Amino acid sequence: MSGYELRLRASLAARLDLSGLTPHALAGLSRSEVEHLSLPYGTARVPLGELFTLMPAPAGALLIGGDPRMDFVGAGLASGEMMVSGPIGVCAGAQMSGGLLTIEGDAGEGLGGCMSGGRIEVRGQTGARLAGPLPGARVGMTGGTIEIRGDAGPLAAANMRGGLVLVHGDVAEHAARDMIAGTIAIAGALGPQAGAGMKRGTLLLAREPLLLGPGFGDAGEHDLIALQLLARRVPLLAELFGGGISGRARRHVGDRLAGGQGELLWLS
Amino acid sequence: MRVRITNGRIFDPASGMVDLLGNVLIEDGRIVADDPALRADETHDAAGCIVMAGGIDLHSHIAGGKVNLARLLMGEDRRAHPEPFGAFCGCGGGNAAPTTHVTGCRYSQMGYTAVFEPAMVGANARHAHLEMADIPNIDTGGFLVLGNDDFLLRLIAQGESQTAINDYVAWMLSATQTCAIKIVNPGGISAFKFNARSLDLDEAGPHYALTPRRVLQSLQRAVTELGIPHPIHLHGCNLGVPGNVATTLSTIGATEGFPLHLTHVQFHAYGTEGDRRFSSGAAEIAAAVNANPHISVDVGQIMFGQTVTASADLMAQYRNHSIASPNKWVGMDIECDAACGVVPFAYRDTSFVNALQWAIGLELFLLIEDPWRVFLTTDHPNGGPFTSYPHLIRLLMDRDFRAEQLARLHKAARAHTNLVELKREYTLEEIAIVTRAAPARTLGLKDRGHLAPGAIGDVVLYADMADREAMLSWSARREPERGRDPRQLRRSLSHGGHAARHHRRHATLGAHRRRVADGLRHFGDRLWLRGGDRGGNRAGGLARRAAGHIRAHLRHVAEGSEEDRPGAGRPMRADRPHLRLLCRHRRGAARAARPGFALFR
Repeated sequence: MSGYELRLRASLAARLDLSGLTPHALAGLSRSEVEHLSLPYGTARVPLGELFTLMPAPAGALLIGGDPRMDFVGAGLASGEMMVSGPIGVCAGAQMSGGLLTIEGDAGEGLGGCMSGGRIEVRGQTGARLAGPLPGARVGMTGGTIEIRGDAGPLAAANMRGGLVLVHGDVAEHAARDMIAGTIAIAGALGPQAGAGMKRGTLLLAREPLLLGPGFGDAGEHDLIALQLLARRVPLLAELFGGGISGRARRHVGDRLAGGQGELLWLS
Repeated sequence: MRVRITNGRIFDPASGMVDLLGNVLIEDGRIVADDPALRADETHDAAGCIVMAGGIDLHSHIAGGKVNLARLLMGEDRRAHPEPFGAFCGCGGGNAAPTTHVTGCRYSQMGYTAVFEPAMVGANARHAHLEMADIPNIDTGGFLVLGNDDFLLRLIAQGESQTAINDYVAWMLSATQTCAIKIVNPGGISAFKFNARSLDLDEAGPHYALTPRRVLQSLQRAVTELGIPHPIHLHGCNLGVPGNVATTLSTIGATEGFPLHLTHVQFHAYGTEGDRRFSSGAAEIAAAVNANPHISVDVGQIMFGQTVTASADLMAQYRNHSIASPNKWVGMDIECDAACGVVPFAYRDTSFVNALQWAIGLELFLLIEDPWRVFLTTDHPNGGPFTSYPHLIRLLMDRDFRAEQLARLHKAARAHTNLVELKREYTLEEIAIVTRAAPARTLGLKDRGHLAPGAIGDVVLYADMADREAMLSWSARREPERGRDPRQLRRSLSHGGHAARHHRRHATLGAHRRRVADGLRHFGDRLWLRGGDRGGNRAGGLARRAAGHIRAHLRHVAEGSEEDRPGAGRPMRADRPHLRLLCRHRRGAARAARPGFALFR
């Protein structure tokens, strides 16, 4: 089982769909078979070899040179490692169930849509609907971990049902809308209208939430041992919040307009 | 332009030609008698091929509001089935709820050239026609859904004459450009809106106090008296309810000799025997169909896998919405004319009920003796996508294959079916009947479903292969020359890297060329506008008369006293503004004198 590095010959002139192109799928194919894979490119199809040059890479790995028009990178990834050096288009890591996807640049909309396992790391920003549902689906992300070094766009963690999303930067409006369960931890600022229609789930915040909707009620200051345990079990969380979580938190509960029992925990 | 197809094995049961070596000559899109003196511009050697007329599917939900809703609801269908791989127009994808282009491409790959949308609601007719016009390669037509619209129910409840009902039916057919009448759960959808959750054949509905039997019989008489070729296309009461075999048998009894088509009869053939109170009623239904030559059926076979059910029968869909998979559904009223329920379904061979449904469908196919009165359908997409037809045909033609599939099913379901004892195998001739000749005959299509001179030049060539499923399958499954689609990699790898490697299996000749030249032909135009057809001319004349009658009726309703109205005292339902609008539209000379926009005020 050998790995591949795909280097773009030139920047893309149309949207390129890379769904299904995973280390596992390529494992059984010869180099020439990989070069002849037919990729949807704009309204046509082109052989992979026409867009990329193939280089060897460590076994089980797939390295791709990124482009903002490259969509569905790592969609359906179940095992192995994929790395994108540069920006990327929409729906990267959609329906991912395992493995690791690392994106060095910015990611487009729908990152980790309907993801059920595995791990995504993004160095840059992400577009709208991070960890959300794919079109037609009722629930978004159900498991796995997504870590964003930059900011996240609108509707982050909407309809999310499980898993962990960590955002080092700010999150735009309508975060956690209709969230069913799961956790999103935000080190930067939380945008307006967060948590509308939220049923359960947790938003962990480093900064005070200023623009909460009317469905959220202040449930006071708490000293939560659970948070300390959580920080110990999940080092990523402790790292996100600067090394330690004391357990002190201000708790807001909502969205009570929708009968929800989700919580926003502002850590102090 | 002459095209000659030579040396093919011709299966044309409508003209009595079965398995005869011969030539077919197409001249300007029509089949003509082959004369060696006529020089062909193009000759295709069909040696080793089976030659048939283009397939006709008389019950497949390919257009209209509910199909669009199903597309909207089933995003995962599009993700699981991206656009077909190969030389296609590259317009969309989907399997259970495909786009219009995929519908046309995949039907024509299987050798089908005409498909009928069986449930067009009057209020949605314009949209459905536009959508069907967007389907490439195949000819299309629609059946009008009546039997739950307030106007008709009011006519019947007020004891209006049969002439009035005939007028209304003819006028509606003309206004909606449809070629037959479909009834979905007669009176039941209307009853559902008044909170009834079931309605049996002889049970009076809650508002109009009408029994489904009466609605059915009124419309049956109308269709017979108007001379519409296809009998009432009936989706009966109690769809999917265990024990509905009794209802279906009484429905056959209620026809009193008038012709009737029972659609997706598999869903109406359930008994209540056994520990699980669910059993096959196929033998009783088949016996009744065999004994009553005025009854025809299409089966509505279920096929295992993911699909989406889309039906006007909101009563049945509401009953089933809790077992939707994935768990989501749409239910809605449509302009008080009908309703619509869209429920995703995954039929599983490990489920007792699904496995038995599958067996019941096959039992019906095998027990009904006359192939001219049974049509091959899966009620696309309700029993399964139409792309599963080749698999279904193999099940019918290959007894060993059938037994092999049966052995994989839920154990208890196997004990409840006598499928293994049914030795019958469909011959190619019978397949040609149930997929072509018989549907053409029941729809009154004189120039389709056969290869005699005068027929439309829809000729299909299948490479003769022992595996009938492979023979009839859509050719996109062949391995393309330019490499594989990565989205299909996982599937082909899981089958040991096997991807079917077949050459081009069939081609629809003539038909394609004709369409390129003529643009799309629509059955509605042919039957009801262009005339030249018995039903068309007659219904056209009646429709003109009916416009006046309906106007008078509306005046009567407007001026009539409150006590006259059935269900008086109950809140009046929203009237049908669009119907009035259409009536005004028909005011002949007066219409011409008025500016167009006034019609819409």
